[in-house]
Amino acid sequence: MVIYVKKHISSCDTNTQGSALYKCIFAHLNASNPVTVDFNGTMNVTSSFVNSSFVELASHFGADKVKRLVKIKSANRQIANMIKDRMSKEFA
Amino acid sequence: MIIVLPKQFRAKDLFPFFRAQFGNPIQVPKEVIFDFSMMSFVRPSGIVFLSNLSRFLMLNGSRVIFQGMNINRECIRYLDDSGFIAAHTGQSLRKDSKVRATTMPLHRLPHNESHNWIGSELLPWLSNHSKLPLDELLEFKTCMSEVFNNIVDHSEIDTGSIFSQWYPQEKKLQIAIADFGVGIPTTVRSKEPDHSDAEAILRAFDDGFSAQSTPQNRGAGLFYLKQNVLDNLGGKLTVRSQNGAVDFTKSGNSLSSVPYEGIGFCPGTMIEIEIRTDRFVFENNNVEDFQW
Repeated sequence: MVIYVKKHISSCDTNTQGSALYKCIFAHLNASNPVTVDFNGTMNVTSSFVNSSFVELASHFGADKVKRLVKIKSANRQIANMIKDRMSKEFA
Repeated sequence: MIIVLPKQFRAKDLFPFFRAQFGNPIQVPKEVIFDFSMMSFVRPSGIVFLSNLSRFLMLNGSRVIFQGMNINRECIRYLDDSGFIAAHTGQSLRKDSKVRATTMPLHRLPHNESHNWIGSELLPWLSNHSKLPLDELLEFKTCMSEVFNNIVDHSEIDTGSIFSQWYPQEKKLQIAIADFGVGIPTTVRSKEPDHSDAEAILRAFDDGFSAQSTPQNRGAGLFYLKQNVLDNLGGKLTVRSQNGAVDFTKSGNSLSSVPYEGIGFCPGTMIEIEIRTDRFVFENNNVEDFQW
């Protein structure tokens, strides 16, 4: 399953938008199914967005499960760095 | 009360100046007349600082009047073109007043419009002047969004005022953003009550510190702003809130945070960001293959 971020939210700036992505991914992880999150067309992500999406998912399912089942695609430098930084600091 | 504004119209000078005028604790007069006749030098921080202070005074019942605006003086024409005068009096001083190419005029932005404005207005404008492609400005864009997310997290009024000036010869951008919130010190002291104003500002920029004003707040946004402005964007940062201020700078590999206590007054919070687009430094440019 591929989730195209741009299809669901206009940008990745706020907690609300992060929560929207969280809901898109939640059911897949709940069923232990792999999911690809494609950031094609997204310029950047804020810490609030990542906190409300990936960090929240990792808080619920565990960071190992998120890293095992969620594949990130088409992430530019800023997006990749922000996701990795937030996850590593919260789940070191 | 008549306040003759100082020659240097920038937050660095206005911050202590108003403390001396209004006293400690701050006394809001029934009427304040700002006299611009001595002013000769305008910086973005001065425009946003006085704009924010004027609105603070009006919200607290004061009548605010501007005088001494001689349009034959370049600094007054600049102020007119910045949008400051129209924003506060309803109209520009001159019929031919217009926004200068190297400025983004004074703008009041509600949070729900801020991210779109940053992406559709500020970023293309900076890209055009700096000649940098948009994908070299992503960290800057994120920094600006972090500022506005911080405003909505910590302010009962979710609107920020912003003004930007591009200096082409130095490839330098100065941005000043101010809000009317309770101020960073009040927010920080809700969790750690013993901090002075300047100490609280320093604490707010620590990695992982959060007053948990929202459940998702994890203390990453202001640290990201500081880290990127200093490490990646070749810049510096000054934060003023209530009676405290902190200058964040980097010299060589050494980061410096200089707090100032009890020397001025700033309603809400004001952040001054300066970046140098010829000093951007990034690592890890190609990350197509994301690995956790």
